Amino acid sequence: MMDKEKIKKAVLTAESCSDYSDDYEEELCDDENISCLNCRYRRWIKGGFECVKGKYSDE
Amino acid sequence: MKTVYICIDDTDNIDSIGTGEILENICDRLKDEGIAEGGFVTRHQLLISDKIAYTSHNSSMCSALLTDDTEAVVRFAGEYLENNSADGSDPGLCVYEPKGSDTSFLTAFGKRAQSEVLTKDDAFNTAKLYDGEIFLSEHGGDGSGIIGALAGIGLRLTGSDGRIKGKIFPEKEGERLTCRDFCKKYGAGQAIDSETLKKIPDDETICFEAVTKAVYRDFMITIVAERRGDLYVPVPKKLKNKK
Repeated sequence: MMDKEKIKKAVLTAESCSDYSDDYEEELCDDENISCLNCRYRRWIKGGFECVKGKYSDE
Repeated sequence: MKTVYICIDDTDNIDSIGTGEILENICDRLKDEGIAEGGFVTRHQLLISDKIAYTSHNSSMCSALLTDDTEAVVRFAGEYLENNSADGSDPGLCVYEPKGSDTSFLTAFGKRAQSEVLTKDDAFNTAKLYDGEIFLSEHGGDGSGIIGALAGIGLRLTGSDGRIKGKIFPEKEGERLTCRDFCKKYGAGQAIDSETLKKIPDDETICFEAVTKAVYRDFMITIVAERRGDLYVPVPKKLKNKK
């Protein structure tokens, strides 16, 4: 589980991210905010997530 | 007609439609073909682990179908996955036709998939216990989606896991109905108190203010509502739009 600070940071990061893209509706984790947690470039890892936008940016 | 369960996993990639939408499409096509009629779709969360490389969701999607021809469901759904799953995905299909066997091995498999990394052999070994009832098949890539597909069936059979795909919108914001009428109108089996998780009595008043989502609990579509004074209000799911 992620702590509150990480969740808050995910909101702040996504709000200023030009690459943010909504994930499928059924996969949205944060019910109220634009957040990296709701982004289709988010990949879960133990204890958090990574952004993989860079991996797909040239495709 | 008999009830069979269908579950799929790992059909999508970063640019494709989601697995839930693919399952809805399969259900629509099964109906068009006169093979089966599908119900609501449940989403079941499986283990998030760094041992499962670059997990995007690790959830599986399940629905119950009414059909007279389970083999036709298996055949049609398998072909659909092979033709419509995204490049790079590893689709798996599981169809379960209950014939009275003890389901505890299936439900246990589903619960294990929420806390351990399981293998395709684990899935096939569990499926073997349900010969003639479970139809488990790979449809592309490394086929590892069978693990989540079988697990999703097990979790659906617990009766209380996951959430319902899609949102429920109020016909009119702020409308007030008895819980009985609310559930009837919006297709829910029950509403529960968000604090106590106990069933809200039929004669309590529900004030439906904003879009909400349902969960799967006690084998029913279940609305979660919070107590506000002498009313209950379904927990809102109001997502901001990105500017």
